[in-house]
Amino acid sequence: MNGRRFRAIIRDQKILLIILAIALVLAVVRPVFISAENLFNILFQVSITSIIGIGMTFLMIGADFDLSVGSNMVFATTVAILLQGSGLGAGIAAAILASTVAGFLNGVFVAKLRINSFISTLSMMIFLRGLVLILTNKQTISGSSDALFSFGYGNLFGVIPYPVVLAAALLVLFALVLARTVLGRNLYAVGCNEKAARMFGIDVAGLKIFAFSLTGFLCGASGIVLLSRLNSASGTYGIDTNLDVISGVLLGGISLSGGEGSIFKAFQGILLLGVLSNAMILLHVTPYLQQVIKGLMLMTVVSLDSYQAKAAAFR
Amino acid sequence: MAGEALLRMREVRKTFGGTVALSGVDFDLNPGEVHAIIGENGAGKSTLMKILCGVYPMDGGSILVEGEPVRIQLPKDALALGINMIHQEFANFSKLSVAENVFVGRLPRKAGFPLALDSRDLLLRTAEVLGRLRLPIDPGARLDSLSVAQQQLVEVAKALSANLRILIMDEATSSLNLRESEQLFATIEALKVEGISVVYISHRLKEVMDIADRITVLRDGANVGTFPRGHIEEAAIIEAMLGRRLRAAVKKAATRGPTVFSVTGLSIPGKVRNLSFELHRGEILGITGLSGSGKELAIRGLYGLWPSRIERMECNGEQVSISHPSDGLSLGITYLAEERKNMSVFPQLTIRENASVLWMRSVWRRFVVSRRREREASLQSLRRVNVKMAGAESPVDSLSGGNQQKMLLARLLMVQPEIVILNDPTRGVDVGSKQEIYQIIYQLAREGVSIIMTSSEIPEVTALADRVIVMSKGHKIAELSDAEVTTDNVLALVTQAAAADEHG
Repeated sequence: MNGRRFRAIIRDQKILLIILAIALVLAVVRPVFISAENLFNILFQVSITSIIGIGMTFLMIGADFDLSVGSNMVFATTVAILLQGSGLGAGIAAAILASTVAGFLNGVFVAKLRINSFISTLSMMIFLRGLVLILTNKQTISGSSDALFSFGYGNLFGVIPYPVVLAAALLVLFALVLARTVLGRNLYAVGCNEKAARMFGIDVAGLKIFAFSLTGFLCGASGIVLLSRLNSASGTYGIDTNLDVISGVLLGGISLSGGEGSIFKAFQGILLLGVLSNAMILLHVTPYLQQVIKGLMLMTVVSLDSYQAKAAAFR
Repeated sequence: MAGEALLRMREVRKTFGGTVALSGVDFDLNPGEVHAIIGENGAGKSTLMKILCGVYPMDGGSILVEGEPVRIQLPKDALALGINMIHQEFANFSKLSVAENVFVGRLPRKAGFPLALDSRDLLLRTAEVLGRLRLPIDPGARLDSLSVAQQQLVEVAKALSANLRILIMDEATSSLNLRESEQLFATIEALKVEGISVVYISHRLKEVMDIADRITVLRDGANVGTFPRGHIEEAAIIEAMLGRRLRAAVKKAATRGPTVFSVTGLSIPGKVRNLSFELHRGEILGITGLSGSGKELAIRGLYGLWPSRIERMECNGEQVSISHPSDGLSLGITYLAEERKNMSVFPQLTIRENASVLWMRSVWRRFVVSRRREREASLQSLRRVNVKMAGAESPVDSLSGGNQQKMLLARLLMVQPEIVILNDPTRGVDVGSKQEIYQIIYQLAREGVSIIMTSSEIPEVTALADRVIVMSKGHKIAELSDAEVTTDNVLALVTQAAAADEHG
């Protein structure tokens, strides 16, 4: 009885448990880990991946995904800098709009032209990366206004970085959309069984286009957060973002086959990656070894998920 | 109008390619009636109902609902008329809750804020529908936490939650045990009380005799009779279903060769219990029973295609095990899968490439495959089974169903197997090709190949097999050989077993 409950906790909360375990070890060997400054630093580090992770979660619940998020984010940053001449606000608005359109196009390719999301978003990833290289002329370009710095480096109540506040607000808002609206619940049905969902009158194409557009919009928002910190853009930014977002969401237990998962779970996965990176930096693990460990972590957790699902199906 | 039938189908005709599926079938349904349709595979039961549901268009005939002619061209036309079918495979959402499954596509919204899901209302309304059917199922449970039987009852609730007048159930009890079937029958009674009519398609005579108000028998795409309950005996229905088309061939004298293969204690939890048998050289061994008897799962389990436990397996006197089809191939055992489209044919490849798939495996150690040898070997094998084709380089899609099936036999024969397992070798095949396939099977046995076969049609097994294992509810209930192998004997055995089951 107790054993079963214990196993259920291990099964359902393993990500939180791993985070706690890492935190406990680090608290002992590197006490600086649990300082408020470091903890908020971790949250700041994961704010961008969390914002994009919201969109990725919507997509993966609908059994799609998006490889172009990293390119799309830098695309937004680039557009915002280039259009700052007509005002910071106009630049930001244009950047978010441009990213949303890119996401919308992904949605049209997947939902209307029925191109597999791997192929369509791979094309979009390459296309946008190229566009950024052209627009920046392969240089690192800088913004003319540093008005955004007060957002990027400012803290709410003097402690919580504004990007963290923004990410938290978006996470809560879209967690509600996914769990409590008809649109959100219909998305689960689409991911579970697309053919049947269509048969029961759910607008499958519309939902998919919405999820891709939302992802584009969130890439735009992340691009602005990036701008607020770096005030610059370059074709070399955001290369790892795709993999960080997708692996984070996968770690959270949202499967590529769709139909299950939640924003909260996805955030746990992304947070785990952030905590792990921070811990490895504090422990002076070399960057290459860091990648090896992240890869191993993803493989282990996903294998565990798969094994548990198999075991559950056999009972 | 009092006494008016709710539904009348008149002179319904349907042809697929050159095959006549329905040749002018009439079918009536009264309000609150349970009307069973029975017949063998390919008799046209499902086709008739798919026409009613708007899945297939009909080639001729008419449909009247309450005396008014209606046009049903798409599934939504049928749904608008209150005609719904319990889908077995693809229409549920296993990872969602029961309530979300019942109201999928029609989730209730909050009155003040229509974007938001009204989850309270969703649960209440689902509980209400489940209550009407007296089903003790938690509306909030995840669908995949329920048994298959309960999931099916959720499908009934889903149909009932919309405007429902006619519910069609196709082989609804095929995966249920006795108690689950009784729960389903109770649910059908609850539907009748609400004035809903049920069309009940089944192989299982016994249950049909119990629950149906009327029984319609289809054979070869024609209605051979509609009988009110209590006015017909089982034997007469079987006679009508089978029509004595397949006369048993003369059995050859029983000179059993040595045992080449044996299985002891094959079990699949809940499906097959402790099945043992031996197979002799040059023998055709049939495994038969009604659908749900475990006959198909047994041979899938034995070839590593379904998780099973086997105490001991011997091939040519040596202990072996088959946990994967490739183990079987290494032992010289080939397998014909029951489903041509999804499990056997590679639609993008040519006839030659399709035929030589297994043969490739036998030559892979040579590393480089000689195109010439491949062509010769496949042509020889394709000719042996008489595949009618423009050429071996034509796409496999250019073959008719019957010729595709023969091509699959050619594929098995290319590796010179000692043992061939045939799972429903003539499914979806025209009558002419059936005869040819029977000839191929006989010829193989005569050449010393040992054959294990099962079929959805009992007369096919009894006509071909030298020896037959009869199964019921996962148990081997009898073994018949030579002259004892007749359809009547098999049917008598399975009916007895079903009756014993009912009383015990």
